Amino acid sequence: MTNGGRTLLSADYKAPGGKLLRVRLRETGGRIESAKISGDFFLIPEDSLAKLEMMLEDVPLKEEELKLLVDRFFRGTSAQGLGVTPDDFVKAILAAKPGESGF
Amino acid sequence: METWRLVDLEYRDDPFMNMSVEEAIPRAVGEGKAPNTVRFWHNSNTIVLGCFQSALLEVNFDACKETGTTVVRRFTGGGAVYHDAGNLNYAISLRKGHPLVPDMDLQLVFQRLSQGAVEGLRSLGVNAEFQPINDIQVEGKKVSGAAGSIRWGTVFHHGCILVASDLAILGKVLNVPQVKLADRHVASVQKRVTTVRDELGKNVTTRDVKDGIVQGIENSYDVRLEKGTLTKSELSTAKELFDTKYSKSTWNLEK
Repeated sequence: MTNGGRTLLSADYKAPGGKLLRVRLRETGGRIESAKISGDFFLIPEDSLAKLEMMLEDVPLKEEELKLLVDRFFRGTSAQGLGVTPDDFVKAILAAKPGESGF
Repeated sequence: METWRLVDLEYRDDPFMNMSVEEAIPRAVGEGKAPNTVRFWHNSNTIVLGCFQSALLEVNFDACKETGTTVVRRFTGGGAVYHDAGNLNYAISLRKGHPLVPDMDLQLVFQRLSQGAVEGLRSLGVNAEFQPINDIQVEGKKVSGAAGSIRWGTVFHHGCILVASDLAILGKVLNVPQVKLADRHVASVQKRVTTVRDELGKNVTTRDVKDGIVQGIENSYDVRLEKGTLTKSELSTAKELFDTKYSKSTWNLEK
């Protein structure tokens, strides 16, 4: 869906053997304008998810950049996921990209 | 032998107050203002969302209106569950560093702190087993789900046990994403969950299950549960959490 140069993207990504990540993005010119991640996963501390969503703002919707950012988030916050790995966050976000094999 | 406090405080028709108490206890335990605690409680028809879930995506609001189901968000992760009078909730709050769960490992917390419920269900004749990540299953069907956190200086674990819940309502009020159902190779919520009543093939009350789990907890962890009440400070924290968080649609619905 396009709205004034912005594209709304979404994907539901089930981590193998794990939990569900539901990603809703606003994208402008190949960059994430804003990101909402929801799902039935575990992440402690719980308030770190909002930080990840904020860190994703203005990041190019590209695998390499996303990997670096998600790694930086987990290292910087000492956040611990259960039912989702850092790589699952990257895959879920990329699955929202047009043409990617999102569910 | 260690003694843990056993609390039965519940607000059957006020899921918001129930959730406020649920948070007030681990906060007090972590601050050393309350002893290690096990709480049992019930809700009337309620969807309890995990703290990371989107209400808009997970909840069928029309079905909620039709069935008089309330929506509340909890402070722990994991998936949405449906509570009614046939569902028994239990919560365990242990001061951080307790030898049962010494590490910052949530998977270990779920495994260890589900054991009391597993033993309790087995003592009633239900062939229950812990199924990672956070379920208790009987022959591949979920009978209980757990969630938890490590925060406020507390290791916290809570679970709900489908004793005699109305699975037809459960199937209506929750939108289960196709990707999740496909992954488990089953067609509907109702086909992948079961109740203690259905497993035993006879009427069983949440009281029977509670008694079994009290025993299960005492035997599994070599502790004694002693009936107690919330402190004034816990009740006042609960009231504050009710006013500022759990009675607010900004917390319950806006994720």
